[in-house]
Amino acid sequence: MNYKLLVDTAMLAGEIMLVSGAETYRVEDTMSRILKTSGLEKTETFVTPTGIFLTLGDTSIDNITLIKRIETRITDLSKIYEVNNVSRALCNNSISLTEAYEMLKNINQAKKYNITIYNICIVLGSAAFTILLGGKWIDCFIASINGGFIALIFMLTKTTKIKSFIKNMICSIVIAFTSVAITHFFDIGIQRDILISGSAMPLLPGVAITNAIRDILQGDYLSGGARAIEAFVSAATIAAGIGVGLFCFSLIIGGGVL
Amino acid sequence: MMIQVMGAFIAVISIAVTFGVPKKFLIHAGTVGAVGWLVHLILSSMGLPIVTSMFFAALTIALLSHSYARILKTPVTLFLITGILPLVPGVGMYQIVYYLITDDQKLSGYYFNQTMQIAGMIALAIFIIDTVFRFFQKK
Repeated sequence: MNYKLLVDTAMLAGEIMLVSGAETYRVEDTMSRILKTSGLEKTETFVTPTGIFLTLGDTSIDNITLIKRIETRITDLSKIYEVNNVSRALCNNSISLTEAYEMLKNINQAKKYNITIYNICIVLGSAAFTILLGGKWIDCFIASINGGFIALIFMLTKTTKIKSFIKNMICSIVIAFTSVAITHFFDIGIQRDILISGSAMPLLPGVAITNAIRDILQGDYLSGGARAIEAFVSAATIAAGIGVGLFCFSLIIGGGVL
Repeated sequence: MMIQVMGAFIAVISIAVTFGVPKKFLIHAGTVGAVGWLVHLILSSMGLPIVTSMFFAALTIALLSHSYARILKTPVTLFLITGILPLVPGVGMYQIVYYLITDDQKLSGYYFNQTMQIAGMIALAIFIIDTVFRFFQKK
């Protein structure tokens, strides 16, 4: 068996999963399963949110150890699903190692939804969350305008190196400002609290919250703690952004609208 | 109430698309979110406190996500992350900030407390269902 290719495959699988937003313990589990197909004695994996370490060894061969630093993190659940399928097939021996490696490489390049659908879904998301929270149709309509702003800001800042929580903060400032301005100038029975929180829902750190909980349950306090901080910081910046937006408008108008 | 549940369905599907959930699982993800929100609405209309209704909603969502994951042979993350999103206390977050700027420490403290409790309840629900399903897991 080609052990070099095996560790590369395991590392690639782990990297794709971690970057796409999988739970840390799941990444470790998948990588161990792939490494165990070698039948060697020593298969160690150690995954943190910012890096992956793995070792494959036995008395018969020299130990192979790889380290991979993970810098970017996006959310793409389809990639987790695809990697899961490949690793299942590999562990059932229904595909060869070379095939698995090629398939993983293809996953890394695949792009699922196009940008128009992505943007439409952000707008739709903002609007639908307002309905979910008990908003009226007028709230829903204004929330979709807010959703449009979110999509626009995401598009404009896509090529820049701005961190995602700064983007979220800018979005929430804009949302709060426009919402409170529209409520102030048009008396059409808008529920401001539902409008603002519904519009901001797509920004909330759902992945970080869920993964923090599940990593901590696994006893993986390092990753769980890191994710919990990520969720908290992200939520706090959105909250701060809403606060800044509301405050700015009340300053402009001369106080007293809140 | 049905309109709100439909809203939950559409909201979860839209978020699922932005998270890159594969097309064939979008309906499942939407169903998980909508059923969870329905449970919350029914329980809170019966007069239960919001923390309790959120707990049972999260329990339902986790249970459905794990069942779908077993049936469809997918990672549970696909349904759990998207399904749990409607429960994330966005309104609570807004209330905290709003009462902070309007200088009402008492109410902002109250909502901070409530938001933390809801977050804790969601975590507890996910813990419970994860543990239950672990019993059935093969070694």
